[in-house]
Amino acid sequence: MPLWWPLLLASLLFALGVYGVLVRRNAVLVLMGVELMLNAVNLNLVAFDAQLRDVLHAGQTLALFTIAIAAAEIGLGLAVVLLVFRTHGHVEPARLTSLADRDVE
Amino acid sequence: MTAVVLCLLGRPVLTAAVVLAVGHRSPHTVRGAAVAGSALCWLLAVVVAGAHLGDAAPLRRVVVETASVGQPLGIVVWVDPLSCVLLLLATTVSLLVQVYSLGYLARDPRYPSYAALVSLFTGAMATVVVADDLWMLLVGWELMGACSYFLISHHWELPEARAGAVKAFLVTRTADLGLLFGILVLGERFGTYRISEILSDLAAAPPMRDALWLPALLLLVAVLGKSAQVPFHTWLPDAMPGPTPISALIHAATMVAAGVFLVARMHPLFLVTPRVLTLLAVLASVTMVLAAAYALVADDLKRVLAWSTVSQLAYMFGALAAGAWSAGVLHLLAHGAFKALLFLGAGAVVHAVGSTSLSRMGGLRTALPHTFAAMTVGFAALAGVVPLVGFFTKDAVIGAAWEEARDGRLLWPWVAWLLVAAMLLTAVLTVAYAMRAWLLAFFGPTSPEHTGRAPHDPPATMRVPLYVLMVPSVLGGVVVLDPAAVLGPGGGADLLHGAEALTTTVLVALTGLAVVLLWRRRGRAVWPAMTWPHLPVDVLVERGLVRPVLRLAQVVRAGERDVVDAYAEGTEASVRGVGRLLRRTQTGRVQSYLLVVVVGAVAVAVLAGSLA
Amino acid sequence: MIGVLEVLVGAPALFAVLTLVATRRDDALAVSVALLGAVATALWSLVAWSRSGDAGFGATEVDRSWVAALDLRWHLGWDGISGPLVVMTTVVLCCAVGSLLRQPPSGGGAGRLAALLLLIEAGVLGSFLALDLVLFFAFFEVALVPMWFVIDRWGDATGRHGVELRRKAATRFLVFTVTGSSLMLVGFVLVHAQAGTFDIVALTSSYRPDGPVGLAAAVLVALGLAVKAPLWPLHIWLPDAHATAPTVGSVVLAAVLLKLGTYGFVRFWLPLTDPGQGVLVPVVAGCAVVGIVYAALACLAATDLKRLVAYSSVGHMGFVVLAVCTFTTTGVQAAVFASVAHGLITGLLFFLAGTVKQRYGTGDLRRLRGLYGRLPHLAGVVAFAAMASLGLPGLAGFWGEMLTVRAALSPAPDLPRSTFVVLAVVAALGVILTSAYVLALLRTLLQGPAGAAAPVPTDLDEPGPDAVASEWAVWSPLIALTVLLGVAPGLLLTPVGRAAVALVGQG
Repeated sequence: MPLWWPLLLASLLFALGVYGVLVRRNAVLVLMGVELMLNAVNLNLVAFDAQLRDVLHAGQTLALFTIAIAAAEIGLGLAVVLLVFRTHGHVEPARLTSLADRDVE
Repeated sequence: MTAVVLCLLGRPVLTAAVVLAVGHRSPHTVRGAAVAGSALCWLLAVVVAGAHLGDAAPLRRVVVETASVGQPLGIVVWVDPLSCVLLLLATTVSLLVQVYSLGYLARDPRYPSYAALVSLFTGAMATVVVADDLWMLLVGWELMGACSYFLISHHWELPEARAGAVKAFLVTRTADLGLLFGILVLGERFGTYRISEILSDLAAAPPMRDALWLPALLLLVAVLGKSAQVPFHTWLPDAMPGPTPISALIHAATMVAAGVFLVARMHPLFLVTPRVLTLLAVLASVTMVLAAAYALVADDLKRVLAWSTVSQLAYMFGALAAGAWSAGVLHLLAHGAFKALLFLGAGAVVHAVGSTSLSRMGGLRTALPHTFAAMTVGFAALAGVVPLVGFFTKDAVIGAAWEEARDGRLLWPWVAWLLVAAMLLTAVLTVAYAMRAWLLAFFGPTSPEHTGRAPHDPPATMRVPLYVLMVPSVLGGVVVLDPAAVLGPGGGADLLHGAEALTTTVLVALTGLAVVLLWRRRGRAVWPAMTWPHLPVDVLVERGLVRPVLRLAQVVRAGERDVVDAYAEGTEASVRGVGRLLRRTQTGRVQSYLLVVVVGAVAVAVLAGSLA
Repeated sequence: MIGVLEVLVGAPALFAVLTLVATRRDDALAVSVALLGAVATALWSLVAWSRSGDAGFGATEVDRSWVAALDLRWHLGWDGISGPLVVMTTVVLCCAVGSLLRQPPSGGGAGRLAALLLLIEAGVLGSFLALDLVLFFAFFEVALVPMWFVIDRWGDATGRHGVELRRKAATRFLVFTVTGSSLMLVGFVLVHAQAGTFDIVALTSSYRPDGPVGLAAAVLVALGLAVKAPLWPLHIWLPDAHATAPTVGSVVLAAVLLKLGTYGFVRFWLPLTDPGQGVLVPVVAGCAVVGIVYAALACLAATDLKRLVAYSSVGHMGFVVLAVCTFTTTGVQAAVFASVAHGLITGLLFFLAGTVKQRYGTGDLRRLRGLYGRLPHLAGVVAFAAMASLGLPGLAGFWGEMLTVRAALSPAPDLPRSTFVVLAVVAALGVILTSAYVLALLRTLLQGPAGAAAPVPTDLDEPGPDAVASEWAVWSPLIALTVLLGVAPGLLLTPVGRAAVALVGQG
């Protein structure tokens, strides 16, 4: 299998993720965009691992590592989203500007 | 014997600590402790002196020294006859002053700190006179300055006391820099800071005349400052607002005596530097006449005595400059006795009258018979009346100067003759001011300005020291007959000079007669009292030094705010400006941040690709 | 196996944590814990002293690998130069923490303040003992940062813009010192590029600065240390920080933190610098002497008690830097002695200034006067401390200045002797100016201003009581040590001299 197949798929996935992160107005969907980006990277890692026939399989190891981190991250992220919903009544990232510089707001 | 000397040095510190610790809780214990401490000191000094006066070998002992690189510092004592006589003088006067203060400061709430400082003062003087290590000497030397500062400002409510204390400390400390640098230069030239080693090197090696004028000159600066000689002469009279017993201590036995002591101690160094010695002779000549003239017209009894101290110290320096070591030292001792007597007597007068102004005294002879007797002896000794101690020592000093002028071994000839002339003139002036003060205070009608309770003799605690001091003032001349018995082989010169003695006696008698005649004819105003509120030197220092420094201080303060601060403020302002621009990007919207990240990443990727 | 010195550095940090834990229950308890920690550290420093022996770094030296990739070593050692400063630090910290027990800071939170002080102590002790440049830097930063909190949280906020000024002073302190230490770090890296090691012992024995890179390293390190010392004209953070900090903050800042700069000058600036190269050393010495005179003049014009004491520190540190710049054994002895003496005396002065301020509610010298009349015991101690500060022989302040002048009169052979003689004379004139401002201070503060008929003030409220027992307890160690070092300077000069020979060679 040529290398560009998985790379193309990964690029598409990543672009999809970036789009989701940048334009979605629901924080849960933003998080899903982040997941897409992460998995695009995972795909890249595995593809290059296979292609280069790395004896240590560093690509696969790192992909597993990323999956574990992503799981933790999504847990925390969803918890944050839940808390935000409780306190603000909405989960729209564009309206959550309490970290903005005071004068600009 | 070393142990005794160390006790002697440690005892005043201990006394001061005890006195301060007991403090205000028990007035009686404080007084007891102070006097007992001084008495113990005196006893120890007598023991030391008994062992080392005269021909006995000097005691030299390294007690402790730093085991470090370079020339070692340490506590090293060297007790020779000169140390012994000065120890005796200092501890005796200090003991008498402590006893006297029992009466003089009977109701003073600040007695504890006063007594502690007197103790420390004595200890510092003792340190100076037994020190072999020059640094140890410096410690005692400057400690005396600090003690005198605090004691002069004892009555700190008086603005004159505050000002006088500051002036005394600053002037002497400025001059003390000379001692600091002098010691450093001596250490460099001789490779040691031990006085005894320096002196033995001087005795052994051929004199290095050109190499030694610098340290000698530096030491001379310190001496002039400490002993209030021209051009540092103005602090001593201004120190008069201090309690009178303190004046006695400063003028007779400690502070100013230390200057004479240092010249006497380092005399061999000065003997190989005739130029410095000549300078000393010139300054001494100027000082003695100038100070006597001031004393002649002062209205304040204590100021008369203060100026007379300056003038008499100049006598001692004159003798030392003329190479007459034993004459100078003996005059120091004699002066210590009669000046302490005079100041303590003046204290009794002030105690009775409540003022130091001569114009408010008069006719006190009958009211204060004991004080009158004491002051008469003191003034007579000061004036050099036969056969009181002042006569013998002054005669020795003048005789030495005369010999020097005739033979011309050390000084430039005209300077030696100037010295002799100044001494004779000062002898006349001394008689005149002593007579005047004596007549104005004790004779004539009672001052019209004097009101209030009738003046009376002081209590016994203040009278006893007067009696004690009258003894050496009257009989002290015996020492001059055989100085070697006291001062050891170095002091064995023949100190009796017939012709000069006759001259001075005639001068004394004639001047005394003239003053009495003048007084008979013109009453209280023998000649009008004058005050120089600002001495020329003071004005010069004030205009040329103090005011510019204060102005400079203001400039520094302003510069600190406006110039040096500017670079910090400028940095701060520019950082703030940049920050104000950058904060506009902080919208708080996560997605816009991310957009920037994505655009940035793409830009970097494109850039990397195009460059590769 | 944990070494003696590691315990010495770790103990204050550990007790800082314990103090914070105890703060949850009770502030008084927390301060007691902190005091226990400070005293334990002081006692342990004596143990470390006795175990270390006299020669070199002795038996307590610790040298382990730390970050092998960066060539950093965990290297601690105790010798005659670091030892006195360590002991002085622990003593001053005991006094500072002890003073919190009876005089808690006005804003509350004594426990947290004590914990911060202990943290600073850990950093300072680490810096004094560190024998690796980067390790020194790390500990240096540990000591600096807590000070920002001390000034910002507990500083003096009286006056109209009190809180803003306090924040400004704290920040200026931090920015200046951190900037300085970053420059220093760059200097360290340059040194590593030349010598291939960060180890101070190795640098001392074999490093010879060479070419422009060596000079640049020396300049950068000097800049960093000059900010901390502080050297004129980089001193401007100091008066604000001292005047604003709470009493214990000023004490620790003046007595301990400034010594980090002077210690750095002695410990590694000397080996990193070639006295014969360029005019770096004479320029630094010149700045030091200008600082002496400048600080004295600023003191003459000062109107605030704490600000005056702060400026006097600039002058005293000028003496220390001048001493270091002579590159002689005597100079090193003078520098260490003067550092220790300044720590004791200025610590005492800041305690006294704090007490005066607390009694009268103001430190304004134009209003404060006649202390002799109202608070005679306090005034007596002030007079003592002032005399010590002006370098009265027989007290600790004198020997440092005397040895500095002595060293400056005969500097290392590579240095221009005549320049240094002039500097020595000017420094000695600075001593006179110092006497002048100290006497002016005594005259107004204790006795009442010149010409005033009533020296005791009437426009101030009745002050509180005279010195109380707890204050005596805080002052007395400092007073006792000042007298002890003044009477027996050999106690300090002997070990320092031995270590100095190892540093600059015999001479």
